[in-house]
Order: sequence, then C-alpha cells, then structure tokens
Amino acid sequence: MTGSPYLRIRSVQKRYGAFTALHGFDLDVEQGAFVALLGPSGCGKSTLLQILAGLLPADQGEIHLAGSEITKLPPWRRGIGLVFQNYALFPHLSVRQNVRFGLDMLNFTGREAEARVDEALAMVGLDPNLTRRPAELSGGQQQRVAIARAIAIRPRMLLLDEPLSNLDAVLRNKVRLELRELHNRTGITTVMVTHDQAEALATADRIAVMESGRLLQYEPPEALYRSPATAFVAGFIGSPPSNLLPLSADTAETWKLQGGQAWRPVAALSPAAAGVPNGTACLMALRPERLAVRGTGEGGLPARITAIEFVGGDRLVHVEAGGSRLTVRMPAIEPLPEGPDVLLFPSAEAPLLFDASSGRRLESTRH
Amino acid sequence: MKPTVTALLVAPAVVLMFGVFLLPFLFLVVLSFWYQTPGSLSLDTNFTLANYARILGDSYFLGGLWTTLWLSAVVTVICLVLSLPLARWIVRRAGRSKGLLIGLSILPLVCGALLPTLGLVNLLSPLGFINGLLKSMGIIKTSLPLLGNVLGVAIGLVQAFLPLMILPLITAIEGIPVDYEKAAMSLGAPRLQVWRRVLLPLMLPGIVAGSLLVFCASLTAFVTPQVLGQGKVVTFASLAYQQAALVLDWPFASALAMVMLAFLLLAGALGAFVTRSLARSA
Amino acid sequence: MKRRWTDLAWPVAVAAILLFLLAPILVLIFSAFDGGNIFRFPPQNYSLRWFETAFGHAEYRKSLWVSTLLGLIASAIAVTLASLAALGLVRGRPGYRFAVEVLLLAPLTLPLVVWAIALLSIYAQIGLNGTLPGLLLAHVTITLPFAARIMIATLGEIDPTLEAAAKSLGATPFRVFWRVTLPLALPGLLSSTAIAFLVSFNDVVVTTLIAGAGWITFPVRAFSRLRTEGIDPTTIAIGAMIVVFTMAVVIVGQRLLKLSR
Repeated sequence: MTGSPYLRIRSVQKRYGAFTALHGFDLDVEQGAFVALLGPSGCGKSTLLQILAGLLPADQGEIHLAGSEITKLPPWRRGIGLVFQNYALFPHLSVRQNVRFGLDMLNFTGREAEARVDEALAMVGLDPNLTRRPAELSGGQQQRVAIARAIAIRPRMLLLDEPLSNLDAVLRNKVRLELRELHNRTGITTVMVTHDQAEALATADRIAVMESGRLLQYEPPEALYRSPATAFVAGFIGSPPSNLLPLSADTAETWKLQGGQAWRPVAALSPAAAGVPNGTACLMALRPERLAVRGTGEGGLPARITAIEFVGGDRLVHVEAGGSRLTVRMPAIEPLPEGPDVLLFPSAEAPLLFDASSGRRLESTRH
Repeated sequence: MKPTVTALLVAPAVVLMFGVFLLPFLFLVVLSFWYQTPGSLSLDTNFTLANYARILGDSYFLGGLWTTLWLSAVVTVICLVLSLPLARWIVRRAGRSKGLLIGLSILPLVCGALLPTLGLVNLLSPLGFINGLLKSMGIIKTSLPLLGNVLGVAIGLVQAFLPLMILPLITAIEGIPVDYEKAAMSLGAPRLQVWRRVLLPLMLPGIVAGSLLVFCASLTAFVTPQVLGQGKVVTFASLAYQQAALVLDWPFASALAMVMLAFLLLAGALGAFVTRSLARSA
Repeated sequence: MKRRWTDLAWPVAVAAILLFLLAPILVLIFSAFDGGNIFRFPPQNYSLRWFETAFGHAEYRKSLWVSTLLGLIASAIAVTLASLAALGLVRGRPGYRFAVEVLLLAPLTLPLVVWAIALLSIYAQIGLNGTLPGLLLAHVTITLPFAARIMIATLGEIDPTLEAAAKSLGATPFRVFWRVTLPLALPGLLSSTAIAFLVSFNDVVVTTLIAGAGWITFPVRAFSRLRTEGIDPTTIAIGAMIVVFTMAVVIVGQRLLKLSR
C-alpha cells in the first residue's frame, strides 16, 4: 500500500432533520478497485453516492480524490462519471449526442469528439452507427448508452447506482459479467451501489456492507462470506443467506433452544468448544450449504421439513428447528431421508456465534 | 435550489397576481360597504349595509339571484350527464384520435365567450336552422321560442362550459385502470352496474371538481346570458355589469359582486368538504 | 340482439354530444360564406363577399390590429412570468407551493366580471383607465393562469435526474439550462404562448369593461355592435376566421404538444 488511497472518505455525515442518513462515514478505495456499497433500502448507500458525485452536500466530513480535496467542488468540476439507476438519457438527443455530451462540456471538437464517442460505444458493445433516439432502445441498450456516456469523458472515478436493478433476470447475469470485464479493460476506479448481495459478491473487489448509515464490514467478498463481523452481515450475505439460530448456552455440552428444548451437538459445536459461558444468549450462524440432513445420528438438531424447492442442481429444504425456520441447501442428487422429522448436522468446524442483543461476533469464535 | 433563488423566480408572478387580481377584490369588499345615492355620483364612505339591504329587499335583485342559482345548478347537472359518456369514450375508445377529440372538446373554451354564442344565436333563432329543420320535418308548425328565455341561455351555458367538465372527468377516468372495469364485467356486472359501482365512485373527486368549475362559471357568466337572453333573462352578472358600467353605482355593483362571491365560496367549501370526506372514507 | 343495440347507442350518443359542442362554431364558419345580407345558415349562395368587406373596413382592421398587438405583448409577458414561477415552484419545491399555485390559477375560478368592475374603479382612482398599460396588465393577469398551468406541467415532467446527469458530465448550471432544460421545455413554451395569445385575443368580458375608447379590440367591437345593430355579416366573417384560426392552433397544438392540461 503505497501513499494515500485514491478515494478517501472521512467522517462524512448527513442528517435530514432528526434522521441521520450517514453517521461519520469513513472509507478508503484503492486506485483501480471495484468497490460495492451493499445494504438494504435506507442504509445510506445512495446518499453516499450522491455526496461523492457532488449532487448532495455533506453536513460534515471530507472527501479526497487522487490526492486533492473535492468536498466543496460542484458536480461539474469533479470529473466523476455517474450512471443513474433510470439511466437518465437525454430524450431530445440521439444516442451519439448523448454519449458526446460530456465531451461537449469539455470543449472537445469535431473529429476528436466523434472518435471518443466511437471508442466508448465500442467498449460497451454497441454499434457506433446507432442513430436512434434513446426512447426507441431496449432497457439493456439504454443502460449501455448510459455507461458509454459516463466513460467517454475518461472520468477519474465511475459511480454506478443500482445498475442491474431495472434489468430482467436473464440480462442481469449477462450484464454483471460485462461490467466486470469493462472494469478490467478500463481500470477506472469504480464504486457501485446495490442492494443485491449476489451482484456485489460476483463483481466487486471489496464490499462495504452498510446498515442504517454505518459501515459494518469492508472486506473482499470471500472474507465477508467466511467471516461476517455481525449477525446482520451473516444474515445478509449468501444465496440464500446464513441461517441464524437463536439459542443460549445451558451447560458446557448443551444448548437451550428457543422452545426450551435442549440440544447436545458434537463436541466441536458445544458451548465449551466455543468458549461461551453458561447463560449467554447468542445467534448461531448456520450456512445452508454446510448443513447435512439425515434421519439418524448423534448430536443432530431435530427439525421438521415444511417445504422443498428444486433450484436446478440443488435443493432448498425448508425446515422448522429450535423454534426457527431454517433453510438447507444440498445437491439434488443426494437422497433426502424420509420426512417430515429429520435431524440437521452442521459441519463440524468452529461455530460462528453472535451476541443475541448487539449482533457482534463473539470474540472467542473468531477464526 | 436555494430558497432565495426560488423566491426571486416566483416573486414577479405572485406580485402581479396579488396586486392586480387579488387587491381589487379586497377593494370591492370595502367598496360594497360604502354608499352612493342613486342618481348622483357622490360617494359616502361611511360604513353601511344599505347596499346589501337593497339586494335582499328588492324582488328584482332577489329574482335575478334565484334565477342565476338554479340555472347554474341545472347547467351543471346537464353538463355532467353529457360529459360522462364523452369523457369515457375519449379515454377508453378513442385510440389515435384521442388528442384530436380533446382538442375539439376544449375548443368552445378557447374561442372565448362571444363567437360560439353568435353561432348559437343563428341556430336557435325563430328563423334559424333548428326551427327550420323541425318545421320541414313536420314536427312543429310555429317556431319554438329558443332565444330570449332561460332555455336558450341554458343551452348556451351548457355548450360553453362542457369543456370545463370534460377535462377533469378525463383526468379522473385516466386514473382508473381499465382492469377495474374488466374485473367487474368478468364478475358479471352489466354496463350500467359497472358505471354505478366502479366508475362513478372512483371518479367522484373529478366529478366534484368539474361540477364546481361549471357551477362557478355559470354563476358568473356574462356574455352568453346577455346575448342569448336578449336582455330578458336577468342574471346576477348582468345586474352587476349594469350597475357598474351603465348606472355607475360602483358600491352597489360591488355588493352584488360580493353576494356572487359568497355563493362561490360556499360552493367551493361544499366541494372541499365532499372531496375530503370521500378521501377519508376511502 | 340487445347487446348490439347498446353497442351502437354509445358511439351515436358520443357523436351527438360532440356535434352539440361544435355545432355553433361550425354554423359560424359556414354562414360566413353566405352572400346574403343577413346571418343565414345553411348558407344559400356562396360568396367571399363578407371576407372582402371585412378587410376593407377600417374600423375592423384597427380593432384586429389592437387585438393582435395586445395578444402578442400580453402572452409574451405572461409566459415569461409563468415560466419563471414554474421553475421556482417545480425545482425549488418550497413549502408555499400550493398557496402560490392557487393564487396563480385564481382568475380561472373567480368571476372575471366581478374583478373587472373592481379593477375599473381602481383604475379610475389612479388614472390608468383607458390606457394601454392598464389594459395590458389586465390581459397579462387573465392569461397568466393558462400559461402557468402548462409550464408547471411541462417543467414537472422533465426528469430532474436529467439535470443531475448533465451536471455530472461537466455542465455548469447555465449549460444545464441551455442544453437540457430549455429544449425539453420548448413544446410547453410554444403551447402556452399560443393559448395565452388566444385567450387574450378572444376576451370579451374584461376588455369591455376596462378598455377605453382608444383601445377597442375586435371581440369588444363585435359585442357592442351586436347589442346596437344586431349581427351583421362582416362580424360573422371575421368571427369565422378567428374561429378557424383558433381551431387550427388548438388541433395542431394538441397533436404536437398536448395542450390539454
């Protein structure tokens, strides 16, 4: 890590009356990185994006880009490309005129401007001879034009606001890949806002998980998956996300479940192994892919199958166990024991436990 | 946009409207409490209710008020009945000619009060087209009196203010997804029931808005009653005009105007009340 | 059998209502072509005689000139004021927006004849009666609501993210206005100017009371002639031309620019 990061966000705060959209937010982004701001609606990610673009003023804090402070700069001086969720293509201009707009603002002329337009359109896979008006294009094409328009000016940073949310499911996967490829080719530092965790996991180098205006965890996708910092992150990441089983440590070997029943798992999953004192209420993260379903066995969690979904190569088995609803993901090939009463066996690794009230990961269970 | 910029942008229009449009009304209120002796032009600026007393006491003026009120009510109802099918047709069935039909529907409004009325004079006169047609078809022997009476005025007012009813109704129907009608029909409702149970209830805010516009416009209409009534139909607006422009008794004209305003405000309040209770029960 | 009857009844009823709406206007237009000395419909011998007379008549020419001049100036002022106000209301979204809108649209709901009386007496006090500025002020006031209605709707339809996009692409506020907002608002500007002109041109009530002898507009002249001499064919001819002109503006405007707000 040489020198200061390319994008530095420090203590940015934004309040709307009594409601705080962003609490003293800090974030660093390396040059050329692809970062996702991930979180549910209302977590502040779009607000942060607007502040980065200069379309919204921050109440407090500083933003530095490529070494210079841009906090007070108006949007037209920041040199940041923005792709809006609804594309915001100018309806009264043709496709080429749209892409050329930013170049016009930079006073590019004639041949040079047209060359840049061709280059941008080619980069997003559109025919440079596209003469239609934006309204006549399909959603996917409109989005490409929006991206071409933003990169034609060779911005210092690219901001994407929920780029895939308006596309249908099939197109979404295709464009997801193309976004990543585009980033690899251009090397532009990119910040993408999304509420879709699968999208973030697939495309980003690092993901900033946000909730209620705060940064919860900022790490590469696999780290987020393997080692979530809070129960919220665990319950948000993954397809499907992790199950969270409420229980409390009863004795050194047994847990007490929500309904009052006792569960005596294998030794590796006992309260003693996790270092949890008796009486502590926690949430145990059980990844759907790491749960086995069997008819018999020692240390299994009693469960009742309520529904089974077939999703191509896998099966999603929905159960009720310990007073909660859990989901198990298993290959469709594997046989399922005769239900509806079965036993669940979490894989025997060190368990992931979170404090039931704060959601923080319990230190003793850190990997 | 900063608040000061907003205020600067809005200010010129607001100042104009307030100064040139609203203030005169306020002046009217004051003027209506002053007195001008009939026959002279001297103005007595002491507060007095004499003008209002005169209106309420004289059957000529009361008669004019009454005529104006029920005429406006009748015109409003007729406009509503005629506009409903037209509005629905334009929204649901017109397809590409929708814009054209809307344009034609608002034409009387934009042409002003006078010109369509002239055409109507010809149509309704004893030697005019309608009487001629009915005679040649053998339906009547002598001409029907369609001018110089409330019938002619009513026809003129309906024709003039139908656009005021059509536009809000069009907006109202556009706000009702056609799926609602289809759902009702698939559940077995015949067309009349679709109107009664689905369309009309959902259109009520629009109906109230349109009715209010037509009623207020009819109440204060001036040119149409003058031309079609040929001086024999006394409406409040023509009374006010007489007093202002001919008799030059401005305080009294103001009092007449204030009475008109009072009814307008009453109608407006009624409309607001109905709309609000509709919203609440929704 | 019953189904077919009701299916036919609706379009017939609708056509009848439309005919009722437009009949007087059509009568006016067609009877202008009648060569006789009276106002006759249906026209019996076709002739352009009254149109020729209309153009030859100095009085009418003058009143048409006054109407046009007044209409042009009043609509220009009204559209400018309305556009500025609409910009403030739509983009600034102030708390007083509803109140201002009600104020701007007030002439549409309050009685013009009442207002004209009041204005007349105030003008008499301050010496504006019979003057062009006084008349102009009145015309701007009655056309402003139409312009405001159209401009508020037009500006409200322009997606604000378009302006944000332009800013992010390097456009200063002036360039945003010039290259994005103005082109998109142009249809609204044109249609509000057209409507404002028509409303001013065709106004009878206000102008009858406010205009002095020196500034008689065409509708006022026609109206006063109507009450003294009855309807004469010259008036009809001019009226027909105005109506056709109005119709053309409304229909073209509706197809291109959607005036029906």
